Amino acid sequence: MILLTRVDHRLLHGQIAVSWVQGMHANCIFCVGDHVANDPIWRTTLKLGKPAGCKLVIKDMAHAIEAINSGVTDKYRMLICLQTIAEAKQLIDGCPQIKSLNLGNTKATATTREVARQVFLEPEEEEILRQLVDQGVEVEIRPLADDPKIEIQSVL
Amino acid sequence: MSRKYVIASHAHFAAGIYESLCLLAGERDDVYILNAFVDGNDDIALAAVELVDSLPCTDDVVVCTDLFGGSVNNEFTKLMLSRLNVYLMSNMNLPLLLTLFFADAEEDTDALLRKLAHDDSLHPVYCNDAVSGVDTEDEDF
Repeated sequence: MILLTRVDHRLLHGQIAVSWVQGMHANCIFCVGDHVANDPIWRTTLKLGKPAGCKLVIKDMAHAIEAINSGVTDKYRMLICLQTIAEAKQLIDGCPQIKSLNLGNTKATATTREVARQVFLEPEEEEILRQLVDQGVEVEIRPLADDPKIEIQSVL
Repeated sequence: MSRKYVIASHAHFAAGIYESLCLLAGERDDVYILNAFVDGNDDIALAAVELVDSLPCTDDVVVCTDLFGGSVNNEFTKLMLSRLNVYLMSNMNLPLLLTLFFADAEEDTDALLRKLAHDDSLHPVYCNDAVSGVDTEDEDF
């Protein structure tokens, strides 16, 4: 069962390991992205810090879509972490059973707009989010599991 | 029985570690902060008594301090010895407080704190050594 699909440029870190894993009783964290899958130092770092009692799987986008669609992930209470909104769109397009997207942390750049405390959007990311909403995907901003959802429509 | 939490330290460590807790786990309304020897809090004995007295005596009061043997912990030790509802944990760190805050609210406070004091996962980790225990194989589903 996919409990959460989250955009977080740091992937697995304190907020996920603490608030989300405990708050949602997750037993599997799935980090998806070509960057992390091909970065051995980052993979080792994530494995070192993973929460006790939680499985951690790291895959590139193509293999992640294949795994989710094959059904092998169904038996886990799973949190999916992606680095960027563009990657989230790729995953959701490949796995249309994902109906909800959480925005956790995105990077601020010179061209981003701050829409929430931890969320900064490039113009093209706002467009992707509009497309996701049009596809019927719920897009919400929440740093922590107990925080109230901010619907993306209210800030676009 | 419900619990209240006091985080107390020399200088602003208490406020700072609570700020970190808020970032990781959200704000709480059952946490009280005491930063000793700064901001005019020079009489730590009085400040400790006043703080504990302001909390309902029917609640368990879990006090976490920064340094075993330090003056902040020593003042709360006096309170722990004289009041039945004060539970004192020293040498606090962030994983300890996080685990404490996510613990079952119904669990017996005394048993919970004894368990946390013996939990190896809450002690410092020397990462240079720990990394050698990381599996080189990637986990799969």
